[in-house]
Amino acid sequence: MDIKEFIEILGKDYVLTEKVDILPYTKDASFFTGKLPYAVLMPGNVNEVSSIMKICQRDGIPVTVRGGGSSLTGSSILVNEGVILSMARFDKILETSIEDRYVIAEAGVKLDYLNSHLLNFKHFYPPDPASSIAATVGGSISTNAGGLRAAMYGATKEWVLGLEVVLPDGTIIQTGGKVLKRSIGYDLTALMVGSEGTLGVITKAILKISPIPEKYGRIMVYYRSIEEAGKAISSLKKNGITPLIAEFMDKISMDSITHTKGLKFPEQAQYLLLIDISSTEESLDKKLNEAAEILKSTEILEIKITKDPDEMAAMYQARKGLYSSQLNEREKPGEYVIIGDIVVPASKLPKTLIEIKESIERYKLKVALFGHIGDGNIHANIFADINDREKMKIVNDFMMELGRIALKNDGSVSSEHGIGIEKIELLREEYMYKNSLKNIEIMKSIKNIFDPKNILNRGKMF
Amino acid sequence: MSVIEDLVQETEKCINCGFCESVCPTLPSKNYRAIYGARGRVFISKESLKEVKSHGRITLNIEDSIFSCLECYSCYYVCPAGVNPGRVSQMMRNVINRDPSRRKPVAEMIVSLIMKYGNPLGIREKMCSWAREIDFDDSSDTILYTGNMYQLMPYSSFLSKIEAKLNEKTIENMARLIKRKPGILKIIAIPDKIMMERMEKILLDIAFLLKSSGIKFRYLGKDEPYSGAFLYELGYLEEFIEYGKYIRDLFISKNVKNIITIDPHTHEAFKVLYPMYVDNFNFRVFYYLELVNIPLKKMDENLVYHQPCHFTMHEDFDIPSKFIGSIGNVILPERNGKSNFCCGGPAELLYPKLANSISMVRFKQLKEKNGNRIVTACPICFTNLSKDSTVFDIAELIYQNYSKKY
Repeated sequence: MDIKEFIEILGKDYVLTEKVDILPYTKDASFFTGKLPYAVLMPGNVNEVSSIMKICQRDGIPVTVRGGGSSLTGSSILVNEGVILSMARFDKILETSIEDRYVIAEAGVKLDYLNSHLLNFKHFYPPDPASSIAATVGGSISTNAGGLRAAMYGATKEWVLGLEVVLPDGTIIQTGGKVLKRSIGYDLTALMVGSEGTLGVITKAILKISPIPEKYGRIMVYYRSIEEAGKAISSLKKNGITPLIAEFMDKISMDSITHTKGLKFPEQAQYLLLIDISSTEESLDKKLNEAAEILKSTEILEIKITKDPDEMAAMYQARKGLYSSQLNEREKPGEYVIIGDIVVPASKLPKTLIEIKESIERYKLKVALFGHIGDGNIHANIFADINDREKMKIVNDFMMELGRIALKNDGSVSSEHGIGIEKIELLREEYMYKNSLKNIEIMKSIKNIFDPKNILNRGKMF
Repeated sequence: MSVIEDLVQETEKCINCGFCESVCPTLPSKNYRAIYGARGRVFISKESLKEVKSHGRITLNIEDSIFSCLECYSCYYVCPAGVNPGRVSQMMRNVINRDPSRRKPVAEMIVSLIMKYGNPLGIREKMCSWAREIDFDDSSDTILYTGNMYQLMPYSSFLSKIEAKLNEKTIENMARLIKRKPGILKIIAIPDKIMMERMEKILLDIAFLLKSSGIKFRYLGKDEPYSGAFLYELGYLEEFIEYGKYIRDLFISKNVKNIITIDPHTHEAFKVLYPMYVDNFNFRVFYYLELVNIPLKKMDENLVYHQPCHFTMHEDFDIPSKFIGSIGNVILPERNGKSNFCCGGPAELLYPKLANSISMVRFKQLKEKNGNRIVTACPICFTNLSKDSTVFDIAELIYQNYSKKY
């Protein structure tokens, strides 16, 4: 590989090769450590990406694209040799149309930054993964990120109208566009969503936006029993209530928030549901009370309604940072928190949660349970020393069982974190369970059409 | 706990989530190179500590990454795991400085001048000219302590402009030369005259406001040393402690009981840091606005306030807002409070281009608020953000509102 060619395209400031410079790119937010790249390339426009891809395609150089580096499954690090393509310089919001309800942003724009921009127009982009302060437009599209608000608004795939993509051979294509409807054959925009950087390099996205809900309030409801907590969401949905946010967390999670953020919870509470209800100003109290009454039909320990913006913001931020806060519950420094991420239909939540709890007890693991329960998404975060082989074997077995529990309950092995390195085996498990291994063959064929030399994010997904 | 143990404990908490990186002012100004962001700094610190443990020394070239951190602490307030990358950088500087060959020559020069002359540029005798016509109360056990900060700005601003034109090697050679022959700096350090006049006027305003509030105080004049804050910020902890003892003994010998500070860096050093590191550093420390008590007239003016990081993020102290609110409408930029965006000033002497780039970003953010004036409450912020005639120090603002007489 001739670094000079990349320097000619990007200039020497944007081709990093010194060890100290490239070391941070061996890590993302997962517990994996990637290979040291030959170089980190930092293009500033789509033509530079195209020129880089032409060289990499010609020479068969593997390329892993990196957005905010907040992947939890190792999507943005190198499995083998290759270069990292950092999209950090794609940091501009290009166009905002309230009339047509879209925003055009470059791939490296952080989601929180995008939403602080849209706030000026009283609009927002709903997908809000807990890492939205660090996660980028391109990265979140690549993993079809979900988040807290997916309970009402769905995951990223519902919000992408069109994309600009550089293919492995350097061709620049535009998919979709600025309109809500389009019927022109295969939906390549949808194909790119969740493709984890294996098909092309997303450089720009046209995203659907929505007016900010006029008003919202919060119900905090505490439980002793996991089954009763699981019943809450289906009870609400049965009664026609779709929460804006519906989050679940267990005692380990609550303790971690108390330790890092100082927020207090009732001592006897084993589980917490945090439910946001949006409405017009006039009817908010009525809707909150209606939801609270429905929740009271389950065996609750305590219930609290709040509309205090500061109180709601503090808890929202604490929930968004929960994964990192859980690190404080580690028994020794260096221990990792390995994230499980499954999804089931809301009606299957009580049964699923009981089965997960029994499995945790059987495997004798320390696991924090939490998640975006409004859409059936459960995270099971396992505390383990990744250097302890025996323990990691147990962790791996538990992760497989967690996936099987999801499948048995009509769900999926991956809800919003993608496959990356971590869930390659589980992806196979899901299609095997559905007797649809052919799907993987189809995906591999699609990959081969886009990327015949398999240079993009090699070693991920399959 | 040793510095290394403290660092290991702090960095082990990090899991690379990247939240800190998204608010770090240096990252975009350094072309988004990861080692110039908070996450990158914690990561390479972790790697370096592994090296120290296994080989007894650091082999990675981490100096520029670590020394370019502004220690603004905006990273700390977004870290859900409670890691403070700013503090990691500050402690890593101490680890780097243990190897003399890795020390930054400009930092070495500054430290040497502070330790020898009690002033970062070795020009202590030039620092008290502003006060020649003021009558102080020499019997008071309260001192107005300028810490030389406002007076130093016209010199440091001049020097950083020279630095920005030279290459790194030339600057380092000059710093080494000045360290050996400090007299050279006295010849080449020419303060910006207009800036000096303004800084001296600000000091006079502060003294006037205190006097008008009935506060009795004296001033140590040419005996007043620099605070030593730089020593701490540059990771010279042992020197900082030694210098703190010198200041403590000087104050005791001068019968000082109460100290009125006038800038956030000095306030933090005297109120928080020295009491933590230096035995018997028992003085009552004030920020001058805590003592100012004068009638102010509310005007219909939009005042965009740039908060100093050392007040809002290091100390949780925000008395200037109260005064600005008494004079006009306080407008805060998007990045304020615990998510404040630094002025870039802390990088000025070691990395003037970086400091300028960050200050331009911040200035733009402040101008976007379309206020009548921009107000600062720190001489470093004031110097870095004074890019047009709408930027004022808070003392100027209060003085102008209170009285036209002088």
